[in-house]
Amino acid sequence: MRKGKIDELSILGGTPYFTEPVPVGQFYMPEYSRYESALRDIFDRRHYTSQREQGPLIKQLEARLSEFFQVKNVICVSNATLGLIMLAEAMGLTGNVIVPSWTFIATAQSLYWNKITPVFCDIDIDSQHMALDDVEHILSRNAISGILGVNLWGGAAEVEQIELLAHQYGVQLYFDSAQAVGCEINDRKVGNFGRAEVFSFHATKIITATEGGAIATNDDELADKLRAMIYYDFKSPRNVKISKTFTARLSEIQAAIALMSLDDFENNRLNNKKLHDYYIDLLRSIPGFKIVSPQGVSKSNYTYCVIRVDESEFGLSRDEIWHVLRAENVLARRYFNPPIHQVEPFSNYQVDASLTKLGNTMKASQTTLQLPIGARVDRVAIEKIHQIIQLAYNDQIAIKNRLYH
Amino acid sequence: MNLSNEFSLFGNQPLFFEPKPLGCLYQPDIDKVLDYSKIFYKNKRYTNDGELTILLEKRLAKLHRVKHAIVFANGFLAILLTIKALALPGKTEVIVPSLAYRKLDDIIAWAGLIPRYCDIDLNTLTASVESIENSITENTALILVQNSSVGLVDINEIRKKAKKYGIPVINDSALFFGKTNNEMVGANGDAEIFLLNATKFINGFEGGYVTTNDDLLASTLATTRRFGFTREDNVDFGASLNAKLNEVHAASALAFLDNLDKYIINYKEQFMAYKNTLEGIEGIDFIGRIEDNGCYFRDMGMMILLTDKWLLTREETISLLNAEGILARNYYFPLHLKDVGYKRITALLPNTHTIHDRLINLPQGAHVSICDIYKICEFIKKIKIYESELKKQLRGMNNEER
Repeated sequence: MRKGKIDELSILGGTPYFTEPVPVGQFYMPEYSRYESALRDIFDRRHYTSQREQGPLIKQLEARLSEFFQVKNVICVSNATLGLIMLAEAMGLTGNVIVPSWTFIATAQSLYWNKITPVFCDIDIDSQHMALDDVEHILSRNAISGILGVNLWGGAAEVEQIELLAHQYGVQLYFDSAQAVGCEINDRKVGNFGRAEVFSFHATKIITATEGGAIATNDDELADKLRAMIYYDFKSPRNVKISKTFTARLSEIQAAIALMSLDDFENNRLNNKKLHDYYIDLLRSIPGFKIVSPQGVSKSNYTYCVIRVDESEFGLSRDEIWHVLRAENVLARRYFNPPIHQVEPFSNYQVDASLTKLGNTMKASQTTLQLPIGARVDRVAIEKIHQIIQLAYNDQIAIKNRLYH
Repeated sequence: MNLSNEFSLFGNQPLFFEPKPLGCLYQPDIDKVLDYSKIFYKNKRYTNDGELTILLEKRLAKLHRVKHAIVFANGFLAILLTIKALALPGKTEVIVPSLAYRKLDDIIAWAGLIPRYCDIDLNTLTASVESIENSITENTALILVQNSSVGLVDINEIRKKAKKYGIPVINDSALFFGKTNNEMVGANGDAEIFLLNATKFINGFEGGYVTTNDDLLASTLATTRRFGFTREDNVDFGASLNAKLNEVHAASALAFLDNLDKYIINYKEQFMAYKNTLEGIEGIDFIGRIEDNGCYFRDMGMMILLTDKWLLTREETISLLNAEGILARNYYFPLHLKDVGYKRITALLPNTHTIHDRLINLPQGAHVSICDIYKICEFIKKIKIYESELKKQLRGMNNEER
């Protein structure tokens, strides 16, 4: 094999270009020596998790996140899905809530656990964010109690316009911002929009706690309800009442990892940006293989490299290039497929028969691809991925023959 | 009688400057935790069915002598997803004892079902078989029982009754780990729940697990705890969420299991110290229990019962203890008396009413030495000695405050 160049695609009989799998996901875990230091610290203090009230590192993390997001209240949770579940309960949401079908399945699952009926809206085909005219269409024709907005791919929905709509129709608004940690909209940090927002600190996100999440809100009463749900000894000065508790504590070691990860945030973000720009540079010349750049934000975390595959120009379909990449050990992903409105139990909900058939969502689910970006990828890796795609473009007939025989 | 020379509540120095907590807080060997951690650092997989999580499940299954152990982010989610998996479709009620973990009925409500409270047996403080049988209706979807801190559920009898109607049984064994009659406790209902929480026994920071011999249940739970994905890009169970355990917690739990016997021996020593030293104090019954042929652990197992020969109320007794840094606490508060926002069904629960406000849990675990236990017991004896004066002054104090 010629050094630095791929000879033959693995799917056509060559050996995989990458010897180790390259996954999609940030995976910026703080290095082992820092982790060891934090663990020893915790073992010295002998305080492992929050019991009746927040542990010391949780308190520290919440204070630092509050400063980072420029938000009054941050409540740490075990993961973003549980944060969304708790939030819908604390907000007292019932009935019908508008949510895009184009999001990670957990967004809709959080509604299911609160016995809320999701009313799916379509997306704008270019930005892949919620289509405002669709949202308004649904609001004007149905009894809606809330909107669960989603901020995707290191970008954001048109949150300020959605806020206006929510206000106009008198419905509650909150956001699944699992992917939007550290993003800014018109120089305001995501975390400040709607009544509350939920962030993820999963291993694949830019701030990690291995598993983790946080709810951000400027609404003190709402914050108190959430704390009362988690912490037994929490006494609210605002005398809030909760219907039922929940368990979603983050441990002290998870908090320690998140604190270190928060320290690394800007370095990681800048690294992401460099990698993202390099992808744009190299992929520029390939027809029908376009990066969906983060939209709607004045500052992005660049945590995703999202491609829209146009088969009529590229020659291969999204699924075909996915097979090619997989054979080379590039673990590209096809989020979100199948789209939520086609998955049970959500496919059984029928709110308004005249609603859009979610055409843009369907199209996106058939043409969107994510490439690796983060700690597991460097410039050399991106060059190799580019070579694979270039070769696939050149060899598309042979590939199609191979895939269908 | 000058109480201010004897009791911190009346101005004396506390017995313990560093409070003695109720939570066990046993610490695994840190070097073992780090060794396990090196594994996930090497393979760069920090969650999502990582190598340590899989290893932990295998070891727990082997330890409990069951086919399957499925781990979760915490016990609450373990119970929630198991209820969802087992509850009879179309039925609405879950029978649960009132004198039980304070969140059990909340979990039932999150599962979209209605708690129906039953009474306990005074000997074991677990759900009484008779009361369960009286609570079964045509709407019963599931029975949720719990091993108490002083007794084990009569699981064979309960299963017999439940089987007549095809009702599944889940046993929450967060408070008990170990053997009884040489049989390891686990998979004793259709499913049994245990914890990996630092305040309980196995210190995995936070976590929980289910033991079962039911293959279908095991595969369902492995799926519903990770959003319902049966394979990449394929969701089969929409009624799922994120209840995954991460590799760091798994590392800690594994390290703990490596030294299991050490903690069990410590438990027994503490138990015997309390039992022997509290012997013969009028008004106090030490009702903690050792299982026959057991090697085991009980959370909140150092339990005393105040009899009618004890002149102070439980609240007064606990105030005196807490003031000394002895963080004794009430046992469970009856669920049917709790203020909640969802529907539930109750009945007369005479045993629960008789006993619930006379139970106190005393400190145990890693922060408590045998010497500390002697001091705690001596202090309890002192309360008895000064009982009448304490009663007078405590109630006199309250009168003045009005």
